[in-house]
Amino acid sequence: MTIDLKTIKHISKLSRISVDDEKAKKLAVDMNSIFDFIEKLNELNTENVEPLTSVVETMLKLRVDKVISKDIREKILKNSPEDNEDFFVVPRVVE
Amino acid sequence: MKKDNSEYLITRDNNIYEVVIGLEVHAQVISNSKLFSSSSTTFGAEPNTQVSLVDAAFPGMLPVINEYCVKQAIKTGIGLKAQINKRSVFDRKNYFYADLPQG
Amino acid sequence: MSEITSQTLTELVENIKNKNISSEETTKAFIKRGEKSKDLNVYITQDFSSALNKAKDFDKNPNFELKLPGIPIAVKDLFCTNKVKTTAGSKILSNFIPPYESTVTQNIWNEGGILLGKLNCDEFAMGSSNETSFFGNAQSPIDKGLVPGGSSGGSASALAANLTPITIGTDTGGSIRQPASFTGTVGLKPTYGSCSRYGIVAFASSLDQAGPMSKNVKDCALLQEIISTYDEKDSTSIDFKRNEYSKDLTSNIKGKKIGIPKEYRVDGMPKEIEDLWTKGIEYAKVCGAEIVDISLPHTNYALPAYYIVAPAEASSNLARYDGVKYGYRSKGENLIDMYEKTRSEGFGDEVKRRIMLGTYVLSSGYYDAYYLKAQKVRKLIKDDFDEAYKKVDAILTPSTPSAAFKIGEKNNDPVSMYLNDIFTVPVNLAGLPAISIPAGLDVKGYPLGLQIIGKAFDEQNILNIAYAMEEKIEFKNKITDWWIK
Repeated sequence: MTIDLKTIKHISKLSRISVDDEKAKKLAVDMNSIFDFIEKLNELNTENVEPLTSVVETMLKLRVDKVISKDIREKILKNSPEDNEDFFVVPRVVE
Repeated sequence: MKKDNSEYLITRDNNIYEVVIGLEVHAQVISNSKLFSSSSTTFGAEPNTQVSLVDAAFPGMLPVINEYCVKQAIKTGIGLKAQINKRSVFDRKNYFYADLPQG
Repeated sequence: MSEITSQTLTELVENIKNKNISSEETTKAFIKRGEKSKDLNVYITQDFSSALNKAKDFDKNPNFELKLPGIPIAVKDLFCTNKVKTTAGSKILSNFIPPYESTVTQNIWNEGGILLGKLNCDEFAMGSSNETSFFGNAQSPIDKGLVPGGSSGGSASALAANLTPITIGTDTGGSIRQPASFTGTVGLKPTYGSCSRYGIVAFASSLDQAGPMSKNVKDCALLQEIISTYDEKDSTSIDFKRNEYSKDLTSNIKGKKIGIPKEYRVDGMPKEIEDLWTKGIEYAKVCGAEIVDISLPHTNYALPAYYIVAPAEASSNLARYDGVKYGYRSKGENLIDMYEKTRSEGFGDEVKRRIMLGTYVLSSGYYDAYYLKAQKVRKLIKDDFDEAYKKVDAILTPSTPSAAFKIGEKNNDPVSMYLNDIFTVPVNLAGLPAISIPAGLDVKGYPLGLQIIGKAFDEQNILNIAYAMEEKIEFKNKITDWWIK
C-alpha cells in the first residue's frame, strides 16, 4: 500500500486538516513507513475471528429518562472563541 | 419480512431486476430527556438552554443512552411485526458541520 | 522525620494525621521545590496560591478520617479540573477552562487531596517521550537531556523529582508504565472499566485508562482504592467488588503462578533487559512464586493492531476540536476554511499524523482491510491472555525495551518511537491491569522497570506480587537535583 500525495490531499479533506505541499510530502513518507509496519497484520488469517469491539463482556448501561442537565447556557458558552451571550458565532454557513 | 419473490422481479434484456423500496422515516421519540444526554427535549426553549456538556461535546464528556428510547425502539419494531435482534451494535459516522459538535 | 518532599505518601499521611506536620507546611514545601524546578518544565499550570489557601482551610478544620488529609497533589493535564485550565498538552486547548471536574480527580479531592497544578504530557496523550507537548519537553530528573517517557512524562518527572508525593496519569498504550520505568517510579494501569473516563480528555476510548503513579507499591495501592469507583456517567465503567487495595496488600505470594511469555524475548533485545528479566524471575522465585513458561503467540501483532485501532479512535474523538465551541480558533474565509486552518494550526505534527492515519483506515474502501482486521487481531491477542490465565495467576515481563533515551534521539522516525510500547501495548488491547516497578539500572545508571500483568479486575494480586518483589529488589532512585536553581 503506497500513500501518494493525492491520497494525502483526500485524507486532509476528510479530516479537515489543511496540509501544504511540503508537509504533505513528509506526511506521505511517514505514513508509508507506518503502513509498512502495519501491513504485518496481513500475515494472519482472521477469516473466522469475531472482531473485538469491547474488552469487557457487559451490557450497555441504560440511563433513566429524567432531565438532569438544566439551563447551563452560561457554562456552555464561557469558553466560546467569539463573544455572544446566546449563540456560538461561526463564519457564515448559508449563502 | 417474507414475500413472494416473483412479484418483485422484472426481467429486461435477459437481466432480472428486483424492486426494493425503502422508507427512511424520522419519528421523534417523545422522551423527557435526549437520546444520549440528560438535557430536556421540550420544544421552544431559548437557544442553547437545553444543551448539556455532552451535547456540546466538551472534552472528556461521554454519552449514556436513554432507556426509554431503547424501549420505544423495541416497541416500534414489535408494532411493525419486525424481528427484534438480541444483539445490536453502534457504528459512529464522523463529519464536520457547525451544528454537529462531536464532529 | 525526613524532609517533607522526600517522604512517601503513606509517611506524609501518617505525619499529618499525627499532627507532626500541617497541610500548610506540606503544601508550602512542595510549592517551594516546584518553584525551584522550572528547568524540568513539568508544570503547564500551577495552582499554588489556591493550593495554599485550601491547605490553610484544611488545617483550620482538619478531617483525619480522610485517606489523603490535606495532601497536595499535581495531576496530568489530561484530567479536566473545574475552573483550572486543562490543555491536554495542546495549542488547541491552550486556553480551555473546564466548568466541570473529572470523576477520578473528584475522588481525590473528596478524600482531602489538594490540587497543586497540571502536569506536562504529550499532546492528547500521543507520544512516548513528552516531546510532542505544545508546552515544550519535560525533562527527566534522572539526568539532563533525558526524556522522562510519555505520554505521562510530566507526571513521572514531577513524581521522581519530589515535586508531588503521588500523581495520576493515563495509559492508552503504555503511557503510565513506560514513564514509570524510565524514571524509577511505580505506575499502575488498572483494568479497563476500573477507573471512570468521565472528564478525561479522550484519546482512544476502548484503550484509555487512568491510574496511579507513585514512589512505592503501598502508595500506589492507596491511590488506586481512592480513584477506582463505579461511575454512571461512563457507560464503560464496570460495577465490580473493589478491594481496599492498601489494607489488603500483602507480600505473601507463596504458590502464585507467574508466567514468562517466550514471545516477549524479542530479536535484538538488549542484554541488560534480558538480565533484568532473569533477575526478576529469580526474585519472584525467592518470594515463593512458581515460574511457568507460557506462550502469547500473537504478541508481535499487537503493536501494528494498536497503531490502527488507537489512531482510528483518536480521529473520531478529536473531531470535536473544530474551533466552534471552545479552544483555539483560526480565522477562516468560511466555515470549512476555519476548520482546516484551526485544526492545522492547533494540532501538533504527531497528532495530525495519527488523526490522518485513523481517518484513512476508517475511510470507505479501507475499513475492512485495516480497522476490522485490527479488531480481529485484537480478539486473538485477548484470547492468548485468556488461555494463559488458565495456567497462571500473573505474567512477568520487562516494561520497556530500553532505558530512557536522549531528547531528540527518536524524533525522525515515528516507527522507532512506537517501538517503545512493544511490551505495554498488548495489555491495553486486552483491557488487563498491569503495574511497572523499578527493578534495576542500565550501564549508564538509568532506571529499568519490570511489568506484572494480571487477570481482569485482579489488581490486588499484581499489587501483592509487586509489593513482594519491591521488598526484595530494594531499588533506590539516585536523584541528584541537577535542575534545582
